[in-house]
Amino acid sequence: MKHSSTYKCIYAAVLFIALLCNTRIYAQSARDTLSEVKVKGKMHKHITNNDKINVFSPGQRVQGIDSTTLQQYRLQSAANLLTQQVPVFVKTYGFNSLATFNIRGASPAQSQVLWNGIPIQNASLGITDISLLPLSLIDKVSMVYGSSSAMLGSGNVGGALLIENDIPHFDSARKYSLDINGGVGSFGQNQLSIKSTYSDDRWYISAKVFDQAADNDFTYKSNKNVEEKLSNAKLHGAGGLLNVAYKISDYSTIGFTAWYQQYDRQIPPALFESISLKAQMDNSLRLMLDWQRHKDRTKWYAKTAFIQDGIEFNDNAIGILSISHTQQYFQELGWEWQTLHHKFMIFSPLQFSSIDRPELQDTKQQTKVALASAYAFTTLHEKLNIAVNLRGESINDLSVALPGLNASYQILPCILLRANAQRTYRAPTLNELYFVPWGNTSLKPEQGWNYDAGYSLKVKLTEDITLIHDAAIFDRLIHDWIIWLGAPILTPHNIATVHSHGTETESKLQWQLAKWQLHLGLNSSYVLATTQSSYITGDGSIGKQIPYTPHYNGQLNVGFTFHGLYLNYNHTFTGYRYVTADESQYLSDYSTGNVQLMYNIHMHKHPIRFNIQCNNIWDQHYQVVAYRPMPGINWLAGLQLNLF
Amino acid sequence: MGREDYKALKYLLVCLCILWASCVKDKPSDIYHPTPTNTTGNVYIVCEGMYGAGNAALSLYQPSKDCVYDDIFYSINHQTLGDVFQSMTPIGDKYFLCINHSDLIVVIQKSTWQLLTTINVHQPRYILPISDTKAYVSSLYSKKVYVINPQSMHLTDSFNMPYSNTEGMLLYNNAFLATWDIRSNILYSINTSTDQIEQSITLAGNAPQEVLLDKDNNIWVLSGNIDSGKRSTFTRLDPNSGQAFKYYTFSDSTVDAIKPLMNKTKDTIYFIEVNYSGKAQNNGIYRMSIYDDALPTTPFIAAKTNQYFWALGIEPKTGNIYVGDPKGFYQKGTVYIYNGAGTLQKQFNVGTGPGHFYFDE
Repeated sequence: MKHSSTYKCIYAAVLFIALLCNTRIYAQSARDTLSEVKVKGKMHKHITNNDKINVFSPGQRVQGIDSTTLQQYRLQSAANLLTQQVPVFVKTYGFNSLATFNIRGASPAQSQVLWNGIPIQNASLGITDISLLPLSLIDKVSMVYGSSSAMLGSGNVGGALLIENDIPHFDSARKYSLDINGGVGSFGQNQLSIKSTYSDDRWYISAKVFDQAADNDFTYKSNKNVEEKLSNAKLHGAGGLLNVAYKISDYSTIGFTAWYQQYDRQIPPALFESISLKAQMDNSLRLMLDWQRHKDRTKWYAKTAFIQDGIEFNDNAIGILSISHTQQYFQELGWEWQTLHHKFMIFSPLQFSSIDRPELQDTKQQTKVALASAYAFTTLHEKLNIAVNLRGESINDLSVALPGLNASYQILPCILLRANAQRTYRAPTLNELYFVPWGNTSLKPEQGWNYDAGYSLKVKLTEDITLIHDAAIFDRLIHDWIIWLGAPILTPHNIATVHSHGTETESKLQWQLAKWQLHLGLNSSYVLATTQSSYITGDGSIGKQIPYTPHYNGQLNVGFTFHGLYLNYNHTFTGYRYVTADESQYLSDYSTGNVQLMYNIHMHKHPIRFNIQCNNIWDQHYQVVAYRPMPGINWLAGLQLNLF
Repeated sequence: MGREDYKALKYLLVCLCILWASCVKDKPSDIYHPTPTNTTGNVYIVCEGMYGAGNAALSLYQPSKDCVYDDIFYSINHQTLGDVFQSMTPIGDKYFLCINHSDLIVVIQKSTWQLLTTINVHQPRYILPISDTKAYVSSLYSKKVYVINPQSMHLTDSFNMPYSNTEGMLLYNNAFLATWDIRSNILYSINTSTDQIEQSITLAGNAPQEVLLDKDNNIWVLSGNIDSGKRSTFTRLDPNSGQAFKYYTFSDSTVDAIKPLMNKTKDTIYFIEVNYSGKAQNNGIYRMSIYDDALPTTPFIAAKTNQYFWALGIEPKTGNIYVGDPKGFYQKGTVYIYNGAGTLQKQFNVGTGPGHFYFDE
């Protein structure tokens, strides 16, 4: 489907039907064996473990990924999950290749990835390659839309991807579990992951390991319209995550989490390259120690983390070897106090990052120290929630105050209104400042304001049909936007004021029909992110959409659950993307259809889950990034065995 | 469904209508590539494109018609050039286009611009015609210089230089080759029959990159690599004796002097100074007489703040000066035409990253 008008019509029809549909279907109480599908995007406390979002950001839009959906992507990366289930644009350079996300028109460096509350972007680049976030190690995924600088820190301009592990739970009786999950797929994909947990009244131990390999040698059409097989595209990754928690008393626990992974990836040639001998090795070590004490109305917590990232890039065709090592140290102390109507939090994060520059044999550092507080007030029979947040942050020799105000109001039992205003600020990254040879030490921070508002609605259309709908509108103005430009080597410059505004919707219709549970979901985003002013003489980008920001992006999910069977058809649409800042070159829109099937059975009391996913079933030829081909129809099948 | 639910749905419909009305069309306007007709006095603009974006283009300006064509290679041949269009060299009835990051030399017909063939060469940069059947091709990141036969359009041979990145090449009896390697401060004289080094001439600066001949048949070599802290330097030398007798070193180590050229009478040298930090000083087009004792301190054509020039050419017939502004390499570049006195006559947009000009004689 090429034309937006067609999409508009379909979108309108679906909504219209959903709203008018009043067919009475008799309820059936029987339930299948799959995990219950939780409502996405409404109640923060069901979505993330993070109190800063749950309690102190009532006006923030948050979208969670339900457990059934997450289960479907257990053998894949966060990049695939976001591409198919979240209306943000995932800029991927190819199958299993570097992928970043663009949320509300923000650049990858303007959005954060938080692991259990710890920022894990590469300390140098300020971005996270989300294709290197294996979901086999992650238990919970959610997306925070819009800035939340006061709570999550500077650098949070577009939003944040929250990835989390389960909160340790302690059982009076000893419990063991062992899950083995293996899969094979097209292009030589194979993966094995094992998860094991142990818990008793004092200890909780969870260990996860994975090993993944793929040839990625799919067939694509070259520039000359000839079918060729992708070369130099092999991948191998392996890693593990260990979480050990000890219950010190009824009120306090201490935990330690270690995550290590290494990926070796070949980088295939772009369509304009005759050959590629490029390869990259990425390794990450993430260690975290956390303690918390929760008694009566108060909660104390402390967490400290060390993160080391290594990137080794080599291009044997031209004899280039580039090695980058970065280290980050993070710590945070916090105190929370809650009554029925008043909640207060104060916390003090510290982040120290450094990058080694072997070319100059030196090290550059960046230190962020902050003191933040938040106050949330609940009144009018808990209908109105208001939060006032303030953060003072010092970044090397820069200091900034980051205020935020957000609120939600339950105007009707089925409608929740919300609004959020935040100051946004992003200091240049170490790479932007000190990249050899063309880092720019005179860069100014990006800053501006972010506003967004929206509503959530949950209506029972009949006894059996429920409509869940969420919509948001946002507006953000950023000054001194940093762009890498120029030649022979790209150099970062403060170049423009960028205005981003648009809408997001998330709708879901659930229909309980006897033993069948039908679902129909539609996510959409509409983003206008345009350059308002520029320091470049005769800049042709004024009033034009910034590159690689589609106006439209969305997903449709339709399917059913019946006994242990789950079937879902997912359709993703990504609109036109401009390659150049003056809109003189663009990439066509594309749609992919994906089918997901899951079946649960019990064999000798051991749950077994079969899982198959067929992607791009309409065999579309498309490129997310110019001249980087994506695969046609492909599949991935998995088997999960729960031994204990 | 209760009364409040209906109320909620009404709100929802109103909100959706508002959202709907605010949307814009998604489909961009089609990019139109008109087909030019050939004429005399063509000005070709080599547009490198944005590195890694595969949007190199051959733009054409026809002064007699005052027409600009963004990408005549695409409009004639219905395919893209590739990534990083480095140079264009006329040999006989053909143009040889070096597409650096695509490892290709694209050969097109001079009169029709139709694609004749492609030659696979690793990272080609510049071509030096030696004879009707022989031309040298310099290669980035490699010590190799490739030899092609322009008539048969085949790669025929290669030879190694002592250093990598052969860049500037000049034919004056022998071939004079400069290797843009920071360890090198040598200009090599190559016997074009044997492809062997005959003479090594020591220069005042490291990383020699451009070689020019002036009206007195002296050679000017521009050296320097700002990324590696090698200061830009001009060395003037006598190719017959192999002696350098004059040199000019730029005082500011952050200034990148690039793309020098001689005017038609070969008594004045023009070059670009680039200030990558975006500041206006040491940024623009400079010129000096070949007899000057010092480098010019003020620009002949000044670049503005956050602007720098990347292409320079002098139209032989009119003496007009063509200057290319890549505007960050992330949008269409702009070409400015100045008269010989440095007064702006005209400007127009071309493909991404204008890097060189070639004028039909």
